[in-house]
Amino acid sequence: EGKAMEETIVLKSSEGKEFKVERSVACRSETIKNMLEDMEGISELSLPTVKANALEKVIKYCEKHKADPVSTEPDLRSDNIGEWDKELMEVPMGDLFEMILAANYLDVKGMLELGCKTVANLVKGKTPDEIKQTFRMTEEDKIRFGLQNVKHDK
Amino acid sequence: MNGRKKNLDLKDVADSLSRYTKSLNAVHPINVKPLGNYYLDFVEGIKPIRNTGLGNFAWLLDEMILDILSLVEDFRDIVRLSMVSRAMYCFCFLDDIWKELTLDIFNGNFSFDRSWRRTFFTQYQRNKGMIGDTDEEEPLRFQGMYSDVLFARWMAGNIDLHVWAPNETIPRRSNLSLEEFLEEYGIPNKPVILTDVVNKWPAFTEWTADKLSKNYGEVPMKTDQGVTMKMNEYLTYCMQTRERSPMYLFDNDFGEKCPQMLKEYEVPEFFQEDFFSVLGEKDRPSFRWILVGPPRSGSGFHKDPNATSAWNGLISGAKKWIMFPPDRVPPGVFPSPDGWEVTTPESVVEWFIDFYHEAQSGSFKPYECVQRPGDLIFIPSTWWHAALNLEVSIAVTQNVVSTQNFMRVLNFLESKKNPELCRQFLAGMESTHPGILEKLKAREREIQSKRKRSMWEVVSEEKSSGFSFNFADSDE
Repeated sequence: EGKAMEETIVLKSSEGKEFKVERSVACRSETIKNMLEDMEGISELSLPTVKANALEKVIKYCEKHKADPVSTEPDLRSDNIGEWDKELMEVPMGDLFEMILAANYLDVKGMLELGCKTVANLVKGKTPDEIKQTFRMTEEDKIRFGLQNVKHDK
Repeated sequence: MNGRKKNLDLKDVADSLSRYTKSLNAVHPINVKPLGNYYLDFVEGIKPIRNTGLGNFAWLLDEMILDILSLVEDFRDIVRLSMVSRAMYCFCFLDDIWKELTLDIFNGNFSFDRSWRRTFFTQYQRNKGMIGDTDEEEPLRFQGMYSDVLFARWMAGNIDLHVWAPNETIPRRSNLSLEEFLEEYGIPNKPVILTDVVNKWPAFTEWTADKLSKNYGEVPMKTDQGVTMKMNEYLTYCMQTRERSPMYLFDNDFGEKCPQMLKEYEVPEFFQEDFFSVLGEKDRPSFRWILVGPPRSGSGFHKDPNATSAWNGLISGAKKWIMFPPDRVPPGVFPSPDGWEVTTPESVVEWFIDFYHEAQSGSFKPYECVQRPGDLIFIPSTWWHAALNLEVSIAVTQNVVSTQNFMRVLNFLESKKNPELCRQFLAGMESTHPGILEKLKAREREIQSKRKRSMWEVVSEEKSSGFSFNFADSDE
């Protein structure tokens, strides 16, 4: 009797795709944890703002990191991403940003930090034209001088 | 990641911004506007530049974009990013980014010059041995950039602080005897300003910025953002900066580093009891600080640790205070379950912009004042309080464990995961003041029973005349 942690719940993406997840894994998402606490006896949650591919990744992250201690300190470094995490983030640019938004909505701090670090690393070392291409900025104007008229090294 | 505005929705943010736009001293340097301006501008044919300029970044919330930027550690990457589009330029222009870069790379070794961006480049070029023109380019100005986050950060650095000065609900007293103070404020645990204490100290005339600079210019001083700077360098910074969350000189070692200063003020007679002294100089928690800060520096809402009371004497400047009694959590403040850790906006000004109005809107009015030079304010134990410097301000503060708050302090120590400190304290009390523990406990029992009796009296009175519970004045 009582809520066993082996209990599974079903998470539904915006397209209606269903994912069966262990309750304890799903609760790595603060948002889901709060929803489950607020609604007794619920075993299925609809997440109409989260797409299936992003949700799948979030679930994978939570599964992999389910034993991590919950940290309250933000991790301010971008050079300490583990191999598994790095691979999780190797997705087309659009998907990467969807995952960040999903991690933010679902309040999975570790994954949100990971997403931000990944994007930061993709900015590093690129020329303005390369950045424009990578992140699909379509603005025509060229800013001749950045914040400081400093010759850049690359 | 910065969870600053976690409980404010977009409409609240928009309301705060429009409420205070009349109190701005300046125009946004690169013409970023709040989201509220979007539709009016659009109708006039101004094209928004966010989506085309940010590309994939446009999907993210502005705070997230700033979080990503703070993970880009090389300033050259930020410069290159600023060249990509007008919208990106607006983000990279944010002075907070350059402050972080300056403190990360140069730590306390910089000379502040008007903005963090300028400060960064000046120091960078100086370190590289480059001489010459460090005047930054005139910032570009754009049309079509809307961001509540960017605008709010700028606004917090440029709003006229005196818009929050008016309310004075903390009593000002002079000529009080110790008994009077205890009876009216110490024992009931209520705030008061004493106006005839500080002006008698030598410090009142000796602790000017000029004299501090002359006497202690080379002494390294601690600030609240982890940076240590020489007094001179800090004072230069203090006089020049204009930002939303300035560094505040907050040094608990000034007595050891500048011993002469200890002779220039004295603990007022109302606060002579100092029970933590039984722990000895080395083991007692920090208990005295010198405070020097520019406008906009300050402390967000908190309760003083260990449940101590405190007094704060202002030498020069002006300091806005706002306080709530122990059981009234101020709006915008989210305490941990035990009530002692808080989540609250990191910039005190931002608390005022986002929540001051709400604090005024309830039936309960907070205790407020502007502390002027010569004023000494009493901060009662476990009261919520926040302070905002309206001008460059110099003050000294100490905290107090006395007969009046002893039980609260003891309860706090007993509940914390530090039984050692508690044990040491009790042992120290018994050896320095034998028999005092029994007296204090007896006093507490008497106070509690008086309180119970008076509640019962109220209840039995009410029984005959009608029904209303009103314990508004009991603060425990």
